[in-house]
Amino acid sequence: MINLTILLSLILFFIGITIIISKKTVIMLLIGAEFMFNAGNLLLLTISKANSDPILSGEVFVLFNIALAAIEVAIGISIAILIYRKFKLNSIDEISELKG
Amino acid sequence: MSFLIFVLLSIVAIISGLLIIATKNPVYNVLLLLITLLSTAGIYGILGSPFISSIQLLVYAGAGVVLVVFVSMFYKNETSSKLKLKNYALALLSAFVILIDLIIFSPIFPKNSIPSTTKTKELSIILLQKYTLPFELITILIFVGIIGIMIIGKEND
Repeated sequence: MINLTILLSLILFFIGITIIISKKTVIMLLIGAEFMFNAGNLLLLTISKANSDPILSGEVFVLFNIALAAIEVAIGISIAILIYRKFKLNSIDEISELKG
Repeated sequence: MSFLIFVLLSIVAIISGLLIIATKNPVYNVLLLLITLLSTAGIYGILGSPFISSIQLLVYAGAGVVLVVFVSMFYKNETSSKLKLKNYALALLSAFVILIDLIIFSPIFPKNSIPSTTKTKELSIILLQKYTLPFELITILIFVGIIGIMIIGKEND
């Protein structure tokens, strides 16, 4: 089952990369990033379980990763709202100016 | 038993991930992401760490997805709001995944098939004794993030 879980996390990671490449809106970028965070968490927990780690480093770092992902989503969403309010743009291909 | 549920949950996760690439409506996309997160929480439960599974349900699937759903409702989309077969299929899929998550934590589920369940007491002692510095750094990061969101979201030009 450990091998299958590693395979599952790889598949989920590549689905996340595909979402980021194929979609064009800012929200979809965040969704793809959350997908990849999720796959990484699954891999960390699987490796920690497979080695039966005595200090539980994998599980503790999964907890830290979940907090990091929550902060990342909140900041990304506020930046997306800011972009939409300032430029009235939805697609990331049209956003080409750095000046605010 | 647990292997069968693992295979079911991973198939649901992969299929809903592929449906994210296929569908265009952002609200559907976020709800499909929710289904993937729920099935990953079930896989955490099967791997033997129920605390991380419940944290995944609370923080990721509860707070994060609801935030993204509200924001993606701001964007205009051209689909009709009529209830279709796809809506019922999505609702059934997410209800099915939540049912499986509940079955894993219920007393009916055979506990000996789960490999070495992590005790939450053990995990919390290690988290607050051995990993005190990263824990405090995460709290500082969350504080800085809240301040950044308040500065970004302020209404001025």
